[in-house]
Amino acid sequence: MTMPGPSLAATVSLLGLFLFCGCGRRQTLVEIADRVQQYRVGNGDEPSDLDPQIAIGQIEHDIMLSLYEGLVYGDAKDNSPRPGVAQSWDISPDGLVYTFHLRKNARWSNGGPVTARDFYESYHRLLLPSLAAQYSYMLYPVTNAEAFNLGKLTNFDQVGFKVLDDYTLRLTLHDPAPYLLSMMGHDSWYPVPLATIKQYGAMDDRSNPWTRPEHFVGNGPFVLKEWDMNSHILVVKNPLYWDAAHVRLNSIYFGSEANYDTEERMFRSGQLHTIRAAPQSKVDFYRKHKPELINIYPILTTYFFYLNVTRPPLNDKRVRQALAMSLDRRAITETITRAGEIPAFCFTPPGTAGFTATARLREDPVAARRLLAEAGYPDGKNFPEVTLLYNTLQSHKAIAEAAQEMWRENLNIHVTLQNAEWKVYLDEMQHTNYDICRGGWGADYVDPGTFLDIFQTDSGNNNTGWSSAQYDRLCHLAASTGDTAARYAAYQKAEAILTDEMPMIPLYVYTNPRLIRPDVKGWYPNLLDSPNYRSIHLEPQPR
Amino acid sequence: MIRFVARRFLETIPVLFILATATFFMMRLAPGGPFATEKQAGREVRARMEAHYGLDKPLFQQYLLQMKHLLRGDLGPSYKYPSRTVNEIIAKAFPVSAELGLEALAVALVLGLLAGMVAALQQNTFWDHGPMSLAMIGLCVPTFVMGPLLISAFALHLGWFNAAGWYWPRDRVLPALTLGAFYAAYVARLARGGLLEVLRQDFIRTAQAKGAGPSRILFRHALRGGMLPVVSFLGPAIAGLLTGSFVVETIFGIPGLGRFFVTAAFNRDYFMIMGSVLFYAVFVIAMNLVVDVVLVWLNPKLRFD
Repeated sequence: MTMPGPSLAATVSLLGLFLFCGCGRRQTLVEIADRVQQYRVGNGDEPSDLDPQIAIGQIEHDIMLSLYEGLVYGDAKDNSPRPGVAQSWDISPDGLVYTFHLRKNARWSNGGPVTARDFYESYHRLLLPSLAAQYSYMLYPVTNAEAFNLGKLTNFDQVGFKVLDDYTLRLTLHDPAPYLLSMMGHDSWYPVPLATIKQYGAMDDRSNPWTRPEHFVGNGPFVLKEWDMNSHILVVKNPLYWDAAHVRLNSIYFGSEANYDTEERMFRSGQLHTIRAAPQSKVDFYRKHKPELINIYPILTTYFFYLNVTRPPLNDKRVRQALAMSLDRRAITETITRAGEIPAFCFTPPGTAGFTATARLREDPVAARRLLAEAGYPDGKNFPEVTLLYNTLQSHKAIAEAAQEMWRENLNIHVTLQNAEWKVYLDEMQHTNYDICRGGWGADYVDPGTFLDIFQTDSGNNNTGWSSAQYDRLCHLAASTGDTAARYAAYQKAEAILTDEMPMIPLYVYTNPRLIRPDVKGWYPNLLDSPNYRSIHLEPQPR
Repeated sequence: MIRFVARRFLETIPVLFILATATFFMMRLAPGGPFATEKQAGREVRARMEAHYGLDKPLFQQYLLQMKHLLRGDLGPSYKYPSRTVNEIIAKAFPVSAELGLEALAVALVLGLLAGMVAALQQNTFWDHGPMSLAMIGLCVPTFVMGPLLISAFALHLGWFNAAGWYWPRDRVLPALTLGAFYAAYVARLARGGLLEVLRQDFIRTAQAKGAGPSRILFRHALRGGMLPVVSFLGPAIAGLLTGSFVVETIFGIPGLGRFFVTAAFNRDYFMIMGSVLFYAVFVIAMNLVVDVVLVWLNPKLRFD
């Protein structure tokens, strides 16, 4: 029996290494990285793609933010629109025409100028029905964008984008959308390098490999250097970026590690400067023992339960209200989630772009019991079998169990819990095949509409079977007026209907427990948890 | 022997065909498709995306199409990673898993055979009970406990290694130990059992009577027969080791095939599921064939038929 060569060599080197490996503490990777201004980020799972018109999701967003720049970008602190490729813009008095003046020194990473035509062609590609871009609706405020995207219109010249000259782009909207600029910070508004894309395949081919490091062209502060699947992505400073003088990082390393615990260990051993979120089980530890390494801040995401209003007993508004009123949200955030989450009494997180709903759900177990009795279930008698569905995750389970117990204690009803694997859960939720179902909704841009619009009748994310003509009218009204006061008044009424009708039960507004080392300067928490690589730099800490 | 190999090769074809068919229909039965996401972009967009990949065609037609592609060796595009093909992903991830597998195999064989031989030669002494108890522990401690324990001690506490990652030679040590330990324990027990069996046989007694020393008896006479159980175990073990371990790859952040194999199912990445299942199947079949050939070579009582 002989051993194969490579194994033997491997064994020897392995044992050698094991015996030999250092005495004393070696320098950690972040200490080395600090000196060369390499920001090392634990970015979660492997990104699906880096084409901003195909990739969706936060993981991809955080990388693409370094690779592209839209006409405007979101401010590091408050996400408000700041001049990106456009150095200024004019808005017509009726709020329908936006004219963007592009800076003349904006460059693609291959040296070509970034022109108004690039944006025009990029938006054409995004709206092509054959590309099937999931975020195409982000451009729908523009005249005829929706019709073109749905194939009802084939001439893109009829869509409200117009190139006035190389450095002037005009957008015409069908209705004033005061939130347009904040929407334009979203990835779907980035320009893409059409010439490069066409070089490597069809414009509308989702499998086009133009985002590989060897082909990649972008216009952001950084440019793609390495992409090793399930390992890392490395972006390096783009010297052609118009504001390169103010970019202080030399490179960013995005680790692609799907497992939270592994990521946290990498952070702890000094391999990473930051990870998006501490595993829930470690939040307490960091808060108590390493407060300098954790930064907990609110983000625009609501945790709630969808209620299926098409099935008894939840087709009765009083039952839905009773369920909502008999939960103790503070107990959930203080004893289960424990990262400073904010109990939610309405759907839209308070203070979203200055909007705080006045309608608030009341926590009142006595009134809840009365409502349940009025609905025909005095003291919970004869209450039918109802199931709460959640996707398999320890924290969802704990919250579901708490809700189950609160409903049993306050209403004397029994709710069965059912967990499902992610895709099964999505399937049941989206086919409204559940009684009660866990939900989470995060904002794509800072505006109450990004929340309230999903409960419109024709929304793809309503999921509850609930429909209110008046609610739909209010959302349409809000979307078609340029007057913020009138919009918010409409949203106030919409939120009031939602709080009364209760097709969903709000539980809390998320916080994000980010782990971040003190070496990182110029990083600010913000509501969209969107990093700003322009302002970040590293300062080695004394040991 | 050539006829034996050729026949086994032909037998493989229907096996793979049935496996591909079963995989195809089983994954299609699972609820939720590759494009189910939390934020729904509306039915039109989803329908167009399905059309883009031909998922709007009747199921049986899709099945025929996939079979046709498979015959050409084209495993198709990945849904989850649209700009990559399954062939490309496997080609990149397999060498990583294979390297880790070989290193773990080396750990398993060196530790396992050593312990097994010592235990067999010193039966019922401390040198038998000690290593065998350790082996029992090795078998019982799952990799998802062993891995974090090793990381905690050697990476976080002592700072000798990185906690995860796959960049430098030293990044191989902890994962290879974690993955290898389990197999080492197996190999040790099998080697001990096999050797004890052989050491009791007449030809060994004859050799002893002729004055052969213990090392000559072990290496010259007993080892070949005593290794038979280990070799039979190694076939599937090598296939399993080389194609990647989801748990070890996840704990140590290793970009291997094991992770794709499992996450493809969670993502409903149909082509990726099919590709990794078939790749794994071919590998297992090939390894079993190699083991069968080696077994005949080791054991004169067996023949190719």
